[in-house]
Amino acid sequence: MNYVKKIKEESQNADDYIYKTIKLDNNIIEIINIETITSSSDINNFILKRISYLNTLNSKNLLDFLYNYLPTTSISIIENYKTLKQKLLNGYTILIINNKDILGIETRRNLTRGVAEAEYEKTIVGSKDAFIEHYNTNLGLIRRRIKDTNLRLKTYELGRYTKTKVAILYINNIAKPDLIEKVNKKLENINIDGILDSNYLKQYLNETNSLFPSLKTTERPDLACESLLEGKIIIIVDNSPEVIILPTFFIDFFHTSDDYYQKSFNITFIRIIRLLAFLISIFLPAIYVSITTHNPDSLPINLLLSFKSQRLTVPFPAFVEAIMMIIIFEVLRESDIRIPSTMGNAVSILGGLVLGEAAVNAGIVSPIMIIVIAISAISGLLIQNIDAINSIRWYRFILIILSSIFGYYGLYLGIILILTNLTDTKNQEDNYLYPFVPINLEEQKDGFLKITNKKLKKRNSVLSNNKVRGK
Amino acid sequence: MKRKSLILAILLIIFVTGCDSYIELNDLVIINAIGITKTENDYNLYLSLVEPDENTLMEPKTTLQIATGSSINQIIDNLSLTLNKKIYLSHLNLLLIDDTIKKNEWEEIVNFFLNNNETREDYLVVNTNNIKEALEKTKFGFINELIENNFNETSKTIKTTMYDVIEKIFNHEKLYLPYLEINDSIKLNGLKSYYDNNYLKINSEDVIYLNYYLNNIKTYKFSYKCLDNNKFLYLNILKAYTKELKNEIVITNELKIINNDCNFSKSEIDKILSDNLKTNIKKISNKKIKIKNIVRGLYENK
Repeated sequence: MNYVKKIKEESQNADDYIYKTIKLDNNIIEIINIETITSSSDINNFILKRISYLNTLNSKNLLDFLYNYLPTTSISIIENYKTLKQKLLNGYTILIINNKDILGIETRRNLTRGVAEAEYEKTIVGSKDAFIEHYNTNLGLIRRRIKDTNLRLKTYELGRYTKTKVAILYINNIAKPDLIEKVNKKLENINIDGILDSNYLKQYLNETNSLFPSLKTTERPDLACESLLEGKIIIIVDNSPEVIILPTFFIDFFHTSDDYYQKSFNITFIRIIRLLAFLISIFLPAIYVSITTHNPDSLPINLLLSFKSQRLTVPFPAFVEAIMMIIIFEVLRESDIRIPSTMGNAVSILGGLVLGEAAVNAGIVSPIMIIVIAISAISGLLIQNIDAINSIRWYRFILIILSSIFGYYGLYLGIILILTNLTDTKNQEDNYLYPFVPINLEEQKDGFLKITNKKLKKRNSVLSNNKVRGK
Repeated sequence: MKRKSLILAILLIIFVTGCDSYIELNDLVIINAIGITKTENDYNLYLSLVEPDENTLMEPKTTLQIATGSSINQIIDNLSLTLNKKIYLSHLNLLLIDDTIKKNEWEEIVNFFLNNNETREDYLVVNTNNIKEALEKTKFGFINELIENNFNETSKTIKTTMYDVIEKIFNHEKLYLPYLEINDSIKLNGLKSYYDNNYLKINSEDVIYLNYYLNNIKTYKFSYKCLDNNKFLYLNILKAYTKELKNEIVITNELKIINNDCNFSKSEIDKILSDNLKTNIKKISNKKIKIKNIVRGLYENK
């Protein structure tokens, strides 16, 4: 088989495929690389320059000679065409010696950015670094924190066309073997065209029908390491700046990595605030709609009159007004995410201040509705996870619709539906609402309450058989 | 089976939970006080309509709407049609009546409010000699505050809610209503008791002893003029508990001596207060009266 000819045929003579032939004595060395993903300086310095130093090439075993002669550790002997192709597409430079022996030398171009500050999961104290799109860097950020041989790694190559490198990480003597096996099986059974981000995998690993997310992703290495030490599993996907943590419980969305860096009573306070904000975010618009459309009797008369006076000029029913405002808020949020940051301030001023003020003055919406939606929206942002924020949005909509039809009864109905859904949800065979359903008093020490790290002596019993921390 | 249960659940939700109760705030006429009188065959309704003031920091403004009809229900329905809004009684906090409301009228009023699922029966019921002026001349919530303050500070009135009225009417018991007298000024002037189709006036001073009897005393100031000069004994009754037993009434007073210019001893003060209470409560009940006075503060009992 003529390897060069075959590659040329398969790549349809693509422009960025570079072919070079070197003749030395009676030997022909053909060098192939893909210009766009390889580093030309590495090829020049470690391959071409070294070969050019040779005046003669008369070794009997040319393959062994070059394997030892070239100054790199990332070199491998390639046995077949399939591996050749795979290496070539992964940024290797291929050396075909006399169309017989093949060497692959890693000369991957650095196409990623450097380690930067976490963008979405901001913290006041603690480390600032975040995962990036580079697999090895992400793995390094974890290994730098957990220096133990029990930190185990299983790698996979997923995606029919993307051949994305995926790895599961766990601490061998902490994580439960059956969980590792289960995740392992799931990953092995994935058969798709490509995995471009860790979020692709979420859909395959997700086990629940709940609107609330059953998996958490993080861009923070410290949070990933905390999860590993707790007995959880981390999934790293090449080209993704987020890693997947599993299993994830409902309570995990109220925890942040810096919860463990500050005084426990401050954290207890802020976790309760997060819970309150979460409840406000879901229920406040629905309560307002209930009050104004079915249950005005639940308000003191002065407040009721205040609401009434504010709604005097509004031509829409309260339900339409609420839905309209939520949609406008979502439009503003989406535009804020998509537009360049240089235009962000202008849009915020135009959307938030000018439109809000003008809408009230024009009598299209009432000031109280703007307050309700703003409080609800801001409260929802206390939870950092985007999937959790999106689920809050859906529950908000559902509750508003139920409240507008049935008033408080609808609201209670919605609450029962949410609670039934959450209590019924299982995540990797554990209850999603654990440690509240079923109740585990030991785990309440790090639930919505938080005691000092010193006193947190036991690991989560559903996550690890190795229950005592420090062992 | 599952489908039937689901349909049943949906029907229950639709018909039982009041999903037809959808109402916009702008379609409500909020009523905070109602006055009812009877003239020959007609009822006269005085409705105090509350409207938000443009400046919401100010007190809400009230307007009086007067309507007449053969029944309260009919008047409310007609008014609702005239105003093209729903008459909303959920925030009703005052019902004014006068002496024209007797047995049949009380039954009509009680029936109306019991059948109205918006009201909560916790609003005050007051007797007055001039309903129109009482509602016109007073600001929003004034009468309620007047009764509340008098009841808490002087015990010279009584708080009677619609719930009490219903209970007394059904049980044929004596009904006591605060009496709001409108002459040149507006003032609470004792009570009106309704029993056996008749109203009787009770003076403010006597209301204190009635409140003792009903175990309704919050706090009040007792004064006693000394015999030999113009000096006074002032006592502040902080708390009083009345327990009615089979043959006797036991009253416990917790009091503070505010002024003792007459230089009475503690036993003399005890006797003065006890005698006063015994004499007056005897007018209401024939039972034996036992009184215990506990002095707090500087003269505290050891």
